[in-house]
Amino acid sequence: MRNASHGTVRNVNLHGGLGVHVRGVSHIFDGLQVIQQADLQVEPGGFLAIVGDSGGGKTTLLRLIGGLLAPTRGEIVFTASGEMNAGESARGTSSQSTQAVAQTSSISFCFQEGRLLPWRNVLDNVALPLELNGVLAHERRAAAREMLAKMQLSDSENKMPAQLSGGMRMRVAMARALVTRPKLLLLDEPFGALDEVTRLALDEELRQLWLDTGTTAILVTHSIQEAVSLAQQVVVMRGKPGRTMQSIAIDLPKDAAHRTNMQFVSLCERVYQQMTLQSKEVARVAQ
Amino acid sequence: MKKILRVALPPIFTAIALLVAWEIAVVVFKPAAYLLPSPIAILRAANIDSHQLINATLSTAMSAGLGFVIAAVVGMVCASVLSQSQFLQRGLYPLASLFQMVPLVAIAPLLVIWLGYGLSATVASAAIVAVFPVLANTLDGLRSTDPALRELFRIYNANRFTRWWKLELPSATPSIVTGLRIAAGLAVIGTVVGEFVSGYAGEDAPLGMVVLAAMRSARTDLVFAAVALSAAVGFVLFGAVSFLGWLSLRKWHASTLSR
Ligand SMILES: Nc1ncnc2c1ncn2[C@@H]1O[C@H](COP(=O)(O)OP(=O)(O)OP(=O)(O)O)[C@@H](O)[C@H]1O
Ligand SMILES: [Mg+2]
Repeated sequence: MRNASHGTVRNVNLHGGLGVHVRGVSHIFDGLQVIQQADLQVEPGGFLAIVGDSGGGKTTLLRLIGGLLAPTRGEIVFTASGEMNAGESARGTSSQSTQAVAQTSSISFCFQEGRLLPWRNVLDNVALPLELNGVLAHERRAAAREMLAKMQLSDSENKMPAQLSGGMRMRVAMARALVTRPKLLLLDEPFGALDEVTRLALDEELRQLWLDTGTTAILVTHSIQEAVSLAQQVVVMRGKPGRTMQSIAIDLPKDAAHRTNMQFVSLCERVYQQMTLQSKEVARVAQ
Repeated sequence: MKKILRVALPPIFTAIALLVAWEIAVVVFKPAAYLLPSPIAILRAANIDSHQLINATLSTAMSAGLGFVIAAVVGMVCASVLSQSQFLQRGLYPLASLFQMVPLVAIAPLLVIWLGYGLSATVASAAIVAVFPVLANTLDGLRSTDPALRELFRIYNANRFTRWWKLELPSATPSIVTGLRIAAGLAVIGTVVGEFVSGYAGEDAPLGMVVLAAMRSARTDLVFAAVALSAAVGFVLFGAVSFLGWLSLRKWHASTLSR
């Protein structure tokens, strides 16, 4: 269905994506409420972008989804493709199952700073998740090399992180996030520190990887254009504590030239409107 | 090579200039030989007693080296254990710092009582002074591991040991090297102090004993020679540690990257 409407062929069966359903999630950090009643839903293999105010709880929401935090209230339900509603769930009271999902390493994170180990070369950085999962040296290196080849980084496998440009560092971080063949990829402003040209190139690479791997992706970004051009739906988070607004479906042909498209511009416009609503209205529009 | 020369030449020139100035001063002012012998006189004395001095230097180097290795291992192991437990850290670290305040010269006689005269007491004395900087710097390094990287290891479900071995220890390497470099110098000091108290005369009397014996017989030139040699032991140990530190950091750490 999605394939037809987006005009792109996507092999969802490769290793399948994880559907995510966030229902009425609130989070309180030692008395400070950061997220209030957040709701969002991504189907398996989908691509959702979250944009919003700085400090609005986007990173926190991502960490909740990834099982690094347990929600104070509400639940996060995962569904594997093909078995709707039969997935694992996490409730505010028990974070066990969220952790369990992360433990199968089916969830990967990609952070803005890259978070590479400075004392390891590119290859061993990419192989790290496999190494920590007990994969044998030659197997994990082979897998890492394959990922690096996909990201055109084969020539740099022996370089140290300090020798890389910001864009290369992010690509290494992405390779590392994907080397475990995740079913859910969580990206927290991955390209926020890069220049516009590099960023556009990496956006394109990310989209291609998403298409190739069939993983579900949730991207937190400050760039409306990036959100609209990559995602199938955009959720705006507003206010303090952060609330999620009605998600905006993006039904654009996903080709490289679409950023100048009128439809694209009007979608950006809609996201922008939600982002600039007065706080009174936020409370009304928030679901 | 050029870089090495640029770093090494200035201190070498300064040292030579100082020695020449010293020699000239002695020639001009003619102080009594037991007060201040000239560098050439010291060299001559060292040459005459070379056999004894070489043995003494080897003996001192052995104590300092052993003491240093023990301090390095004990310091790193203790710091690693402490770093894994807030509870132990709160309970033990203040005591460890207090221990640091106890003057070594006061403990040295105890060491002799417990370990007898000879190598064990001097090694223990070296290890005791050298251990704290290793412990403190290692602990500091382990604790200041980037929390973002800790989170990364948490995401991958690394256990404590893996996190320590693959994350905390490598990221603490610069601090550990700093601690070891300080410890290298202190180990020699600890050794010589230990030798003053627990040393033995004879064929392979260590440098500390040579200093004492030479002082008693007013052989100031020999005192100087022995002092210079103990400094040389410290210098070699320090240099070796610095070199190993540079080797382990050269690929990634800012202090060694040319840029
Ligand atoms: N571990 C924590 N303990 C206490 N408060 C926290 C913690 N992490 C985040 N916060 C607070 O939660 C709020 C939301 O932070 P969060 O990082 O989720 O925002 P964000 O939307 O990602 O912001 P940005 O766009 O700047 O990255 C902030 O006020 C922050 O100070
Ligand atoms: Mg954030």
